[in-house]
Amino acid sequence: MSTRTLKQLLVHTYLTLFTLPIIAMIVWYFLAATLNFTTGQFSLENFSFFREPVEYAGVELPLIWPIVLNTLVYSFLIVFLEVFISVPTAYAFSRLDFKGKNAAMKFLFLMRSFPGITLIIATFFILVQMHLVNTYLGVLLVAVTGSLPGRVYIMKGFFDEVPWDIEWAAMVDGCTRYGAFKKVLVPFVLPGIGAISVFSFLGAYGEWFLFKLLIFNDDMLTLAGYLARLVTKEDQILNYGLITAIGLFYTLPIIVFYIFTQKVFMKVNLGGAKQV
Amino acid sequence: MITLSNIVKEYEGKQESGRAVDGLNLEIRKGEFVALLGPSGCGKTTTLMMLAGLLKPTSGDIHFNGKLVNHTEPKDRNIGMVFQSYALYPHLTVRDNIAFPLRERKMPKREAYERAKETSRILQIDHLLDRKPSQLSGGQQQRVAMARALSKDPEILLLDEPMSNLDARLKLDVRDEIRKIQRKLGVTTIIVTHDQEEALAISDRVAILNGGRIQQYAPPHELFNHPVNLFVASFLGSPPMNLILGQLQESGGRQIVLTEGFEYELPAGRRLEKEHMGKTVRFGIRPHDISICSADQPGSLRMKVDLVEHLGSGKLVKVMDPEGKLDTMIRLLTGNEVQVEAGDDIYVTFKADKFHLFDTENGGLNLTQHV
Amino acid sequence: MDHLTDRPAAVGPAYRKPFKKKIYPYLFIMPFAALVLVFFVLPALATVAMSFTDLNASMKPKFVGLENFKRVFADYNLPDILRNTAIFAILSLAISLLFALVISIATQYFLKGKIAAVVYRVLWLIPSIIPAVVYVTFWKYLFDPTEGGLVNRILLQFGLESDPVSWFSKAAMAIVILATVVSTISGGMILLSAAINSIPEDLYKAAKVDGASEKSVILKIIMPTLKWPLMYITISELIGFVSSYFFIMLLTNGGPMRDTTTLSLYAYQQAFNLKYYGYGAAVSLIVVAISFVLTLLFLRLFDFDEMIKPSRIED
Repeated sequence: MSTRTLKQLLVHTYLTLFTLPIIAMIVWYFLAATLNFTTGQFSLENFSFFREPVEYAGVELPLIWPIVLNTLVYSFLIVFLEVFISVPTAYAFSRLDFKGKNAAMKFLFLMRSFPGITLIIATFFILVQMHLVNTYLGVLLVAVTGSLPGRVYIMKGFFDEVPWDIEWAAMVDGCTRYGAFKKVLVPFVLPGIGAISVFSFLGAYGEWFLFKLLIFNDDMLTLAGYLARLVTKEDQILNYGLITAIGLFYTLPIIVFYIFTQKVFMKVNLGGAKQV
Repeated sequence: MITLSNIVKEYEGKQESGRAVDGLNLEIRKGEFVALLGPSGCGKTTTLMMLAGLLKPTSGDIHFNGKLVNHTEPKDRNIGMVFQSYALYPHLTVRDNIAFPLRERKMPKREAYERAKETSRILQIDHLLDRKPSQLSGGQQQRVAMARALSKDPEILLLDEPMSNLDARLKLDVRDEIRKIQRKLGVTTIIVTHDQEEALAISDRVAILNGGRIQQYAPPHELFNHPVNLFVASFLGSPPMNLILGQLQESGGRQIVLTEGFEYELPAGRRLEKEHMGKTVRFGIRPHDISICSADQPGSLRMKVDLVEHLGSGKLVKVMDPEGKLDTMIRLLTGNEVQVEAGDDIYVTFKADKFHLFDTENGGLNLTQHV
Repeated sequence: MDHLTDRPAAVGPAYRKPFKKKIYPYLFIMPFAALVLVFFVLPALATVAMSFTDLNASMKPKFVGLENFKRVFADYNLPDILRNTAIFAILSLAISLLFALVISIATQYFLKGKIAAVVYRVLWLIPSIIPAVVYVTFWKYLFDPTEGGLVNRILLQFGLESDPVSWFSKAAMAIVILATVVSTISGGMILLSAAINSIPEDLYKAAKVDGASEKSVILKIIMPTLKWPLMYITISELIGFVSSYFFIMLLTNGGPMRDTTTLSLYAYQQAFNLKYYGYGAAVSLIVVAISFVLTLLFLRLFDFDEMIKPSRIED
């Protein structure tokens, strides 16, 4: 055996070792959800939540289907809002001149790296004052504000990549500045819009904290908030079967989604960071 | 007719501040093909961008047909433009690319497509209409860019280094074709290029720019034969003009240029005004205006051959005065039949009507030029 | 001749942008700016304001000056909580950096271009893709204190322990760090992989020709390219570990006792569990201050002049 194959073997061994917990995790979800905990037999009894409301450790939660609908509505709304706000903002930062642009840009960067979560106590009170607690609007606004700086930053990178020639051509060909944005620049940055849509969707789909904090009605929860109610109820989980079954139902679609879009996740770069 | 008067363009940025264009005057007649030629950073692209309306002059006026257009939007100028990168819209097919300017003018789709087809026929790309730009070769993309610029029947066609991304052979074909189409359509055309051969070959008049100013604006042959100043003389021509440092002197009714390596008497017909005597000048002569001759020919100068390069069509001979005192070597062109080798002693003469004398001050003014 | 004429003086501001064009860019950033104002700037100011009041469940705030801050520094929980925060942040950072480095070098250098590399990467991204609430159930199961938990089951099986171990009371911090690290590695891994990927192949070839060992390739070629990405990851992850408490909340909720309570979680608990909003705001202001300092450090990694470029169209 040559040293080269030996080396490869060594690398594979290490990587497999590191990856084992993750594979174990995936396997466990499937097993825990589909096996009876006591008998070890295959059963779908854990999936009874499809038909009846969940009752677990004294928590009674509504039937899952309206929650699924909430999740989808909430996630797509977030994607819609984040795309429709971040794309024009990123365009302005990348391509237009305006007074205060430098300062605004620096502030955007500060916001992007500054953890908004540290301001959650005051945010809560502002929502109370605006009567937005226990409304979707409140959750949406806080969630969108939190993730927008990152989205704007990614989108700005995509707009920066658009050659000026293309925009010049559009202007000469009869477009206004806005026309060039709509007809030429936006089609050009579609891959970027796709990328931020994926990130937005995953972020929204997994959002449980804001629902725990701001939503008090169980029938307004999304799947993440729904599961959070069950997971944080007791320190110790009593019925893994039920929770993993719901978890599997909740996670499988995005894992499939992820496998198809995984290239997008490698595209995130350091952008303007020095010497990278 | 296009008139640029006293155009100044100042940039104020952290990195690049200063004047890109510094008092530029230019007049272009209807249907004329004009080239803006100069080294990079000379302001030629900035000038083109101002013509397109993508940049606004800091001061000065731009008139199209007598109408002030300084602040007219690009879309209202009726110009077509071809960019160095072609700038095709990657998400549109060739047909939609060509029809784009027409659709922006609210032309109905069917009519726009019809026009796109016609234009594409002129440029021989009508078989590519359904492709996307990414499926085309560089030459094809260039044609599509031309078609897009011409489809709306522009009054002015602006070309920004349109051929610099093509390979050498294709460049020649495209150059001829652009010229032919321009003649046929009679559209006023301005091309920006740093390739002098291209500029001289394609255009009616060439404006040579340097430092944001026009150095000379004239038909190609005049630029070549009568450069107004040292910059134009040294910029044009390949191999470049020999420019030898010397001093003008007058003694006993003779006017001579005294250089470190030789003495040249100005022929009777080309004597200068007395006021120029004593000036330090550059004696300029193009390589093909120097010929090898026999020792007994009057006015011949002895030179030592330093290097011989074979160009294929002839030989480029680099010579030095026998003592090696000249500040630069003198290049001359000869036919392949002439036998010269490095180390040879030869005699050369300058064509009496072809040399120039450039002042070393006063912007390098050509003293032999009668203005 | 025009090249001899004097420079024409630039004639004043010849062109003035019409008002419509001046406000045009602001229309694009308006929705964003409005959101930022209401849900970022305002909360930031309100946090400061609240920290000077005794706002609590009674909702009748009274100005108390520096009382809250005096209380924070007299709080007998504070030393433990600061220690927890430091242990959590530093250990999480160190472990996740190490693993990110090892995995990215392994996949981008040793297995460069191999399908196996993609498979490992895709798998390693899963913990950061799956929703946090689902992710934590696995860790809860792994360290379940009954004999049903995986670790306990294995230990009992091999007779290493006679009774199930209550991991969450004995090693809560370790579990929290482990779970956090596994899901954050991928972020650093992506950036490091991208940086390693940008090293030209010729450099490796040259090193091979010069007979360099793998060790010196890693130390002399790969590591120097990773300097900036590593700094970037260090600061950005540190900001995250100091300020966010989502995994801790889901896994242990700060317990047992306050063993896994970090400063930011403590602020949350004071405000939302005990309804001492004013005091919570004061505690979170400390987190804000730490985050702010880290953020400013972070911003130094960026070249703003490079990033902010003027428009190349003048309208």
